[in-house]
Order: sequence, then C-alpha cells, then structure tokens
Amino acid sequence: MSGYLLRRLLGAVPLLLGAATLVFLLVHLVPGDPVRLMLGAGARDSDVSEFRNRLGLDRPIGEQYLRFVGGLIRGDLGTSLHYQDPVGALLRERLPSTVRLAAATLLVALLAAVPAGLLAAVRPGGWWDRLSTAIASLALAMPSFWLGPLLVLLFSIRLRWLPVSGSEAPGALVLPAATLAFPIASLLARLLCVSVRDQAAAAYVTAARARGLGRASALLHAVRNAIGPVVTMVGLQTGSLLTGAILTETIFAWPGLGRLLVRAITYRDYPLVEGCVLAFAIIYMLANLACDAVRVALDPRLARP
Amino acid sequence: MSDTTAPGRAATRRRRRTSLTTGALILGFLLAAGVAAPWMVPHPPDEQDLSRRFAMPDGAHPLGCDDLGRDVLSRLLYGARISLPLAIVVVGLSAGLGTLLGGLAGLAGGAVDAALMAAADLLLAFPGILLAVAIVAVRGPGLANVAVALCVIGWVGYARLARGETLRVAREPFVEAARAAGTGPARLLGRHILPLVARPVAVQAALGVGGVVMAEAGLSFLGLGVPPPTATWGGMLRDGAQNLLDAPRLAVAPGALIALAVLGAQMLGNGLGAGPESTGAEGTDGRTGAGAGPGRGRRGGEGVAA
Repeated sequence: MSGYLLRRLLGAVPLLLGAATLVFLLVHLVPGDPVRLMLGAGARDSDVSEFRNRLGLDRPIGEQYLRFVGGLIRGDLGTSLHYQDPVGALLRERLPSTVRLAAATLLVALLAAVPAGLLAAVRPGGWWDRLSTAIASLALAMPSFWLGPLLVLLFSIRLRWLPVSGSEAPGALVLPAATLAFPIASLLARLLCVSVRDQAAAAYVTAARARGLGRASALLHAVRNAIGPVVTMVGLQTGSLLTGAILTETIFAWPGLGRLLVRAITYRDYPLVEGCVLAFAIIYMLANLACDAVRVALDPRLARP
Repeated sequence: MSDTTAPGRAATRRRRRTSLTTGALILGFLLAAGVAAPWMVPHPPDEQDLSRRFAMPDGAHPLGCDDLGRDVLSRLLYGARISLPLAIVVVGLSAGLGTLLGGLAGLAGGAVDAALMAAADLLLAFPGILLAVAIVAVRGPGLANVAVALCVIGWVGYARLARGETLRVAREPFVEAARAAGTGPARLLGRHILPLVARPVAVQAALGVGGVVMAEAGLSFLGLGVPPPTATWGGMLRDGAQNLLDAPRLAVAPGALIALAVLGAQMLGNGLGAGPESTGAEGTDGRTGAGAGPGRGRRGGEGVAA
C-alpha cells in the first residue's frame, strides 16, 4: 500500500511540473498582451513597458520560466498585483474556506446518495428507482448558478431561514453546500444503485444465497464490492466540486479560492490567476490520489503494478 | 442488469427511441427559435427603456423587462442564437480533432501514442472548465475566445474515446485482412476504423453539447463569456441573480432554458447510446449521462456542475 502511494506520488511530480509549465505558457505565450489587457486599451506605451519591466515580462522567456519554476520549488508564487501580498499567503488564507465548503458538500452528498442509491437498488423499476432517475437527470441539467439563486430566493428571501451570503452567520454553509451537493449526490446515488445491482446479480451472491445466506447479508457483500466505482467517482467529482466552487463561491460571496480566482481575473492580477489555477490543479490531483488510496485499501489487488 | 428477454429489449428500444425523439425535438425547437428570433422578437434585444425597469409582464412585453428596461423575451430568443450554435461548433471541432488524433494515436502506437496521451493527461490535470476560465482570463472575454477555450479542453475526451475504440477495432479480423492486403494507414483509418468509431463518438458528442451549453453559460455568468450588451442566457442569469430582490423572475427563465437545452442533449445522447443493434450496456448509462462535460469523458461540466 505504502509502495503504491509512493509510486503514485512520484508519478504526480512530472504531471505537476507539466501543469505549472502549461499555466506559465498560457500567461506568457498566448496571443494577446496581458499587460495591455491589465492596463486597458488606452494605456500609454511607456506605462506598458514600465509595467512589463516591473513584472519581469521583458526578460527572455527562458529566464522567466526558470525564475517561475525556481520560485515554485521554493514555494514562492510571486506577489499579487492587486493585493500587494505574496500569492502563497493569499492562497493559504482562502484555502480553509474552500476545504470547509468542499468537505460539507461531500458529506451532504454522501449522506443523501447512499440511502437513496441503496433504496433504488433494492427495488429495480419501483417508484423510488424511477423518481430518483428523474431527479438525477434534472440535477445534472440544472446549472448550479441557477439552483443557487433559486435556493436563496426560497430559503433566504421568502422564508428568511438562512443568510443570503457570506460565511460568518450561522447556517451560512447550508445553501452553498446544498447547491454544490445536489448534482453530485444524484450522480453518486445512480452509480451506487447500478453498481449494487450489478454486484447483486453476480454468481458469488447467488451462491451465497443458495447456501442459505439471508437477503440482507448477501446485499451487504454486494455493497462492499460495489463501493469501488463510487469512491473513484467521488475523486472525479472533486473536479466538478472545485469548478463548481468558483461559481458557487461567487454566488454566495464565500471567501474561498474560487472567489479569489474570479477577483484575480477581474483585476487582471496574473500572478494570482496563475497561483489559483495551480492550487486548484494540485488539490484535484491530491483528491484523486486520496480516493485511489481508499480504493486500494478496500481492494488491495488494485495496488499490483 | 439490463432486461435481456425479447419484450424487455423491445421496451428498452422504445424508451430509447422516445428519448432520442424528445431530445431532438427540444434541441430543434431551441435552434429554430434562435434562427427565427429576428422575425419573432417583439422588440430589439438591446433596446433600453429605463421607464420600464423591472416592468411586469404585459401584452407588449410577455415576459416583462429587465433592469435596463429591455424586453426579456426578445433577449431570451436572441440568447438561443449564441448558446446552441456555439455548442454545436465547439463540439463539432473538438469531436473532429479529438477523433482524428485519438485514431492516429491508437493506430500508430509508440511515441505518437505516448505523446498524445501525455498531453491528454496534462489537460485533465485541470478540473472541469478551470483551464477554459484561465484561457479566457488571459485572452479576454469574447465569443471566439470562449470557443477556442472550450475546444482546447474539449478534444481530450473524444481523443481518449477514439483511441480506445481504435485499439479495439484494429484487432478485428477485417482490419488485419485489409492491412495484409496492403492498405495504407490513412485509408485503413479513414475507411475501415473511423466509421466504426463514429458511433460512440456521436453519443459523447450529443452529451457534450449539453456540457458546452452549461460551460458557456457558466463563463458568461462569471463575466468571462460573450460581453454585454449581447444577450446570452448565462449573462441574463447573472443579471437576474444580481437583482433577486427586485425582480426574482429575471433569474428563472434563462436558467430554465439552459437546463432544457442540457436535458435535451442528455436525452439525445441517451437515445443514441443504444440503438436496436446495440447490446445496450445499461450499466454505463448513469455515467455517460453524467459525463455531460464538454466531451471530457470525466465530468467537467460546469460545469458542468457546477
């Protein structure tokens, strides 16, 4: 297990370097002048060249790249142009809020998905199975930036049960987490349902039943084997959770990484944009690694190279 | 878990045909509404009348007016001219490029395959539409930049799918026979392999249309899409969300149209997913339905979720 994890972690290093290089090239080589965009179309040429000099953008591209990678290795992501603070410090400050939102979302999604998926799996074609399928289609079609405002309208403006936005007030976590959790829960419930049904039809369950094992105990065996794909999907869903966070944090004025990225884009703060994008990519990689580790813990055969 | 009895298969076929027809009708209706918009709209979509700010629906403005006194119905219809055509162009380009590259990688193997898969893995290291957000952030908002950004992240899913399918098809006896008969790689790919890869790609493309509609709306919602005053559903939803206290109804209609378009694409994809000749691996349906990201194979839609 530890050998497997070490192998995966080492494998992530070149990918991370590649991702960092891609982000660097994006800001430095994509056609279009970020400094002109930053200063506006009416900026004077002298101002543009002074700003380029300040950002080091007038140096040869190779030198800029080496400085960027060197800084990255030392944990120095540069200084934010808007906040005038180190990018790393800004990311560290906002990270806990995003992690709190993501953890609450996953918790809500799993608490809803596991009973819903199992209930649908027990009676294929039953009313709950059909209803949950319909809800899943709807949930996946509904943009979070529509669901969020609708929930605010109902629970904050009409019923006045929950705060409209922010993170300080009690209950502030509920609406953002519910908005993000709805599509994820629907997806996980469907996957669990299909996965349990596939396992329940397997020969080993039939054999166990033939030997007199009760229906519930047999189902438990099936569930244990059905969890694997669900765990993988949780890892993949952290991707939609993170990008969802960009939109959801914007809707609910949640002080996390997503909102920081949107601010950075609005202020054309490119060092901060680079830092946020890289932070998201790293979190995504680590989340998938963690999910693979859980899968290997559940089924050690997967660790064999 | 699929019902393999003859009546069961017939029922599955019927369900899929219904899904296909309904999905095609929904998307066709939205496309037609967009095409006919210039002749149908009661008012020019950008015509402001500040005396009618947040006006309630009436005979002249069937869905009322927005925060600048513009007619909501006209803007919704004009929004259909952006969302779906953009999604179709992006999916067409991504699917075409992705299938060609994936097919080449699968057939060539070796260094070409390794390089392509490394590029795909690199792009997949960025969750969902994050890379598209970054690209638009650097290049600036605008229709062309949004299309480029969504194509850059879009081709990967199709390439991986086409590569896998090519590897499968290339082992078939008829391909080996063609190769033995001296057929060159270009002809082998174009005539013998890609036609068979087209079907799964079409399914993913149909689902991908929904993903791109959602992604474009998400970018517009963040202010990174097509800039105002052009009417887009995502931009209208953003305005609606900002005016929830004054006129909550402004947020309802554009969101409902985005959801309808995504639902239509999902139904089209699920309907295409298993035609009569398919053995119908129903177990994967939940996953394909969910993979409605912009053709990324793993869900990226807001996307997609978002």
